[in-house]
Amino acid sequence: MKNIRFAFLFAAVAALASCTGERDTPEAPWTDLEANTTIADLISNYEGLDYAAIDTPLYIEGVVTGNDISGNLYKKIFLQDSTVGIDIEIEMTNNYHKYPIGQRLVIDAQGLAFGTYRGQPQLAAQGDNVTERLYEPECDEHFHRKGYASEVNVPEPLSLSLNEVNFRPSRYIGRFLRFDSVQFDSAGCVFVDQVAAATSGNAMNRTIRDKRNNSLAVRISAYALFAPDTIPYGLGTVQGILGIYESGSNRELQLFPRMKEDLIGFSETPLGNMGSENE
Amino acid sequence: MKQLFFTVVLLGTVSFAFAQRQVSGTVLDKRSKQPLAGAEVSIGVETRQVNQDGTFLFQNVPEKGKVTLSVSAPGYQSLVLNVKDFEDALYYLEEVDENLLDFGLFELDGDEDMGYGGQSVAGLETSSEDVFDRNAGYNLSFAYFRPRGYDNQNNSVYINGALMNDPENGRASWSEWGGLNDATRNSEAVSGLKPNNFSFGNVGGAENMNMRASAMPRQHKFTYSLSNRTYTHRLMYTYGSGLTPKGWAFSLSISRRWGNGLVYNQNTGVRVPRFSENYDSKGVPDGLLYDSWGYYASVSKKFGSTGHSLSFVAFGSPTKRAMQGGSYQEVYDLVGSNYYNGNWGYQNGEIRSARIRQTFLPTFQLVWDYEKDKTKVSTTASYQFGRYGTTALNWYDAPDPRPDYYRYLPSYYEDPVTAAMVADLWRNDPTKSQINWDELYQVNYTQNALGRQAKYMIEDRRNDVSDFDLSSVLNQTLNDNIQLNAGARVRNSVTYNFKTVSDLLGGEYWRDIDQFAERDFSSSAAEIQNDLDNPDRIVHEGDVFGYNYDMHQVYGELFAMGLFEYAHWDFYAGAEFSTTHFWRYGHMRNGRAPENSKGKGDVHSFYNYGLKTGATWKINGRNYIYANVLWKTRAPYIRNAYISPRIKDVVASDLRNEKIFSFDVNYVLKTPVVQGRITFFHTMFFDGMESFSFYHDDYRTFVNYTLSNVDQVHQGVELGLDVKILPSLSATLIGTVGNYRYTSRPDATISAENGAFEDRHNTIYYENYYVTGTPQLAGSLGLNYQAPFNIYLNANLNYVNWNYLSMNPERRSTAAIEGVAMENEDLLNAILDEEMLQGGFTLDISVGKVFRFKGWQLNLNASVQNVTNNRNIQTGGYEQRRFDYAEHDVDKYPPRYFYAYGTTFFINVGVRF
Repeated sequence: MKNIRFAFLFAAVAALASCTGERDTPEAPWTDLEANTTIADLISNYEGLDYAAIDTPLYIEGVVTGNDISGNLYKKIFLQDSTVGIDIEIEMTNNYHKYPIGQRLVIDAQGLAFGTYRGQPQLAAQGDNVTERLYEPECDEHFHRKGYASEVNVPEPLSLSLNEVNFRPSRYIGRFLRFDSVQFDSAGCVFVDQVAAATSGNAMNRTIRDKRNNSLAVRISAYALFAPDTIPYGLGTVQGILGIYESGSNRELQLFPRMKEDLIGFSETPLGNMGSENE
Repeated sequence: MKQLFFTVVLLGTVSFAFAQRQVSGTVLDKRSKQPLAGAEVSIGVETRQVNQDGTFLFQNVPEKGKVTLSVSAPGYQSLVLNVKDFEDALYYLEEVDENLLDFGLFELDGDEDMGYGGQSVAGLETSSEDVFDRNAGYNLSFAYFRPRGYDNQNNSVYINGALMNDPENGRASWSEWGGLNDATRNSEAVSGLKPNNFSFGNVGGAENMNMRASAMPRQHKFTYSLSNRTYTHRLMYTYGSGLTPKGWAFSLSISRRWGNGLVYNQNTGVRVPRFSENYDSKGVPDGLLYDSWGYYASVSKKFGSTGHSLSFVAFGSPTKRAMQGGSYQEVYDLVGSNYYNGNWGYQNGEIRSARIRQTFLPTFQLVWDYEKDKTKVSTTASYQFGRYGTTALNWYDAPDPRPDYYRYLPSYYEDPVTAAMVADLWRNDPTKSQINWDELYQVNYTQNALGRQAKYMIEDRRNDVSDFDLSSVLNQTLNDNIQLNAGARVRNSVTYNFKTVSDLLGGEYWRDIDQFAERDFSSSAAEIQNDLDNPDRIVHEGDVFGYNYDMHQVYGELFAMGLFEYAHWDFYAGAEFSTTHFWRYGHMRNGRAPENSKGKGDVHSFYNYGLKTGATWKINGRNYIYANVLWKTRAPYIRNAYISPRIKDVVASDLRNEKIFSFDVNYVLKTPVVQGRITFFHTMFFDGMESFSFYHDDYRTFVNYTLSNVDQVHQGVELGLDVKILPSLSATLIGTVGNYRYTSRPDATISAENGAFEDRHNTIYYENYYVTGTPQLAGSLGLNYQAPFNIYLNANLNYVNWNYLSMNPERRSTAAIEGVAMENEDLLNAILDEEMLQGGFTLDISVGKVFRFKGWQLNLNASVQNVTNNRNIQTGGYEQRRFDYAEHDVDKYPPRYFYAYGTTFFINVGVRF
C-alpha cells in the first residue's frame, strides 16, 4: 500500500507542475534595424534622377506624417525624419490602417527605387525604368514597424511663412508644415466642385493668402472626406504636407492637408471686416 | 522498425517460470442457456470479447487476493463478482431494458461554414465498460463535452476494421450510420492511450464496431420512439438469424427517423412546443426538418472447422435535415428565445429552410476472418462513396437575405425611433425575423422580366467522397505470456468538392462569376471568372459552378505491438509507421489563379511514425495501476493544409507533420461493490493546424484563415466511481477537471477568395489561452435503482462549466490593440480576454419497465432530460471574425451563441422475440 501512496504523490506533483501562464498579450512590433542614412541624404544622393534602382544597403528611419486617413492623399504615405520627408508610393487603399500617422518605420530601401515625379522625390517599387507603386507584400518585406503608432512620435509641423516656402521650396518638399494667419480666397465655396474637379485631375487648388499677399495652393482631392464641406472663413492655421507639381517650366507648390482637422482656428460663418480682429 | 522487431522476438523467447493463475469460463444467456457471443469480460484494466462459443480465458491474473471479474453484453445486465471458480465457470447474464441506454445521444451537427467546427459528438465512449467513459458519453454530450478536450480527430473509428474517419478533416461522422443503433452495438471501444487489438490506437482512443452478421444476436426486434429532440419519430426493425448449423448468419436492420421534434405546426394544428419557449408557444415552429433512413444488411458464412469465414456488410443512412444556426444575443432577446433559428422563412405560408444537409454515403464491405488455435487474422475491403451536401443562400448584387444580418438589427440604427420600429418588426413580422422567400422570388421575377440573371439562389455545397480501404490485422498468441498484434492498411480516398445550382428561386439563370471579385476588379477583368476556360458561363439548376476540384489522398500504415503478461506486471510496446500523399486536381481554371488552379497539383508526401508503451502493475485482483506513454507524428489534414483550395492549388508555407506527446497514469479499483478509476493525463500537441472560412464584411469577400504552428497542452484528472449501495441501488460519480491551453503563437495566413489582396501573414498571440469548444470542468452524479417487477429508475445530475467562446484570432494580434494605451487595462482585457460561457446543472430522469412472455420481451421506457428546464447553459459560440480596429469597440460585432436544449423527452417501446 505504501507504493500506492507513492504513485498518488507522483500524480499530485505532476498535476501541480501544470501549465498556468499569464494570458498572452500581443507585443508591439519591433525591429533592431537602424537607419544608415537620412532621408535628406538619400534624396540628394539621387537628386534630379527620374529613376534609380537602389541596389546598395540603405536604411532610412522616420515617422509616418501623412496617409489616406481622409482620402486627401491617395495611395501614398509620407515618412519624415529629422531632416526632411519623402513620398512613398503604395498600391493600397485604406493604408491608414496599416501605416497610421505617428508610426515609426525603418525602411530597407535596397531593392526599391528612387524616382522624381513632376519634381516630387518618391520612394517606390522598381519597374521598367520607371517607378511603380509598392504592393502590400513588398511593403511587408521592406517596411519594418518600430513600436506602435503614437501621436507623440509625430514631429511638430515646421512653422513657416508663405514667403519662406515660396522662396526656397526645395528644402521643404515632403515635409509636414504649418502656416499661421492665412485665409482662403474662396471661403464659403465647397472645397471641391465635383464638376470642375473632373477636368483637373479630380482635385482642386484652393489658395491661401497671408496679409502680405503671399499665396500657396492647398490641394483638395475630390475623394477627400471633407471635399463637399464649405471652405471656412477668416484667418487660421493650415497644416499639411508640401508637394510639388512641375509641368514644363511651370512649377506649382501644393500643400496637402491630411484631414479636415489640419485647418485650425477658422470660422464657419463669414466675419465682418476680416483680419481686423487680429490687429 | 527492424530493431523493434528484434526486440519483440527477443523478449518473446525469454520465458518466466512463474506459476500462473488464470480465469476461464463461458458467458450464457440466463433464459435460453445459449452462449452470448457479443459479451465482454474484464479483469482489472483488461477487457476482452468472448469467443463465438461464449468462452473466455484470462491468463496471468494477479496471484494474490480476490479477483474481481465483470461480465457484460449489450442488452444484458452486467455482472461484477469475485471469482470463485477459476476454471471453466459458467456466467449467466439476464436481459434488461437495453433501450435504457438508447437515448441520451445527441446528434450535434455544427455548421462549419459558421466557424463552429462541424463537430458531432456521439457514441465513442458510450459502449465502454469504463464508468467514466460510459457516463460521460451519455450524460455530458448535451454540452459538447469532449473527453480530455481533444478534437474528434484524435479518436479513430473503425467498422469491421475499416477506418471511417474522414480523409479530409480526420473526423468520424456518426451520422453516416445514423439510426443503426442495433447494428453498431457490438463494439470494442478503448479510450485514451490503452492498447487495443485492432489498431495502434489514437491519442483519444479508438473504437471498432463489429457489424458482421455472425456477431448479431438471434432476434427480431421492433422499436418505436417518440421524442422532441432532433426528430419526432423513430422506427427500427432489426433481425438476426444467429449462426445456422450450416455456418450461415443473416442480419438486417432498417430504420427511419423523421419529424422536426414536435413543435407547433400551423398547418397540421399539432401543438407540442419543443422547448416550451415563448417563441414556440406563439406558434412559430423552428423550421428544423428531419428525415433519415438507415439500412444495414449482412451475411456471414463460416467454413466448417477450417477457421475461415467470410462476411458481407452493407449499410447507409440517406439523411435530409435542416441545420440550426446560431445567432446574436440581441436577436435571442428580441424574439424571446435562445433557440432562434434564422435559417428558415415562409414561402406561400409554408416553412422552408435555406440550409439543408443531404447526405448518403453507402458503404460495402467484404470481411475475411481466420481464427484458429492461437492465430486470428481479419482482413477487410471496404468501399464508401456518395454525396454529402449542404445548401445555402447565394446572392448577386443584392442585399443580404439572411434576416439576422447585422444591418437589419435594431442596434444598427442610431436613431432610437427607427431602432424601436425595427425591433417591433422583429417581434411581430415573420417576414423580417425570418427569411422572406416570397420577396426573393419577386426580386428574381423582376430580373427575369429584364432578361437578367437571378439575384438570389440556393446553392448546394458538396463534399462527395469515394473511399477505398483495405486492411488486415493479425492477433497472434505466441505463448502464455506474449501476444503480438500487427496490421497493415492501404486507403485511397477522393473527395469531390464543388457546388451546384440547387434552386434559382424563380430566376432564369445564373452567371458563373465571383461577385466579390467584381467589386475589386472591373467587370470585364479575367479575375472575376470562376472558370476562365468558359468565361461568363450561364448555369441553370443542377449545373456545377463556382469551384470544382478533387482532393486525392493515398494513405498506408503498418503497425506492430507486443503485449506481455505476467503475474504481477503486464506491459506492451508498439510502433506504427504511416505514409500520406495528397494532391489537388482542379477542374476549373480560376481567373484569380489561372496558373495554378486547373489540373493536377503537386503531390505532398508525409512520412510518420508512432511509438507507444505502457505497463500495468497488478497489485492484487482488485487494485491496479497502469501508465501509458505515446509519441507520434501525423500528417497535416487536407482541410487545413490548403489555402483557398476553391480557387487555387497552394498549401500553407512550411507544411509540417504534427507531433504529439501524451502520457497518463491511472489507478483502477475493482470490487463487486466499488469500481472506479482515477487518471492523470498530460498531452502536448506541436505544430498543429486550424482553418476556417468566413465572409469578411470589410474586405467584402470570403476569406480563408489558416493557423499553423499551433501548440496545445491538455492536462487534467478524470475520476469515475460506481458504488453499489444496496443490491438494487447503485450510485455513479464522474468528474473531470481539465486545463486545455494553447502554448504557442501560431502563424496565420489570410487569403481572400476574390483575390483582392495577396495572402497575408500575421502572428497570433495565443499563448496560455484556453482551448475552446468543450467544458473543461464537468461531472455527473447518478443513481440507478432496480425496483421490483423489472422496473428501472435512473436519475443523473450533471454539471458543466469552464467552456470558452471560440476566438477570433485577429483579436489576439498586434493590429487589434493598435492604438490602445498599455495603461488602459480595461479596454485591453475587453479585447483580449477569452469569454467563459455560461455553465450549469441539468437533471435527467429515466424510467424503464420490461415485460416478458414466453420468449417475447417488451420494453417500455421514457427519459426526460433537463427536467428543470435550464435554458441558460451556453454550449458554444464564436466571436465574429470582424473587429472594430478603428474604435476598439468590442460590442460592435457581438458574438454568436448556442444554448443547450431545455426540457426534452424520449419515449421508447421495443419488442423483441
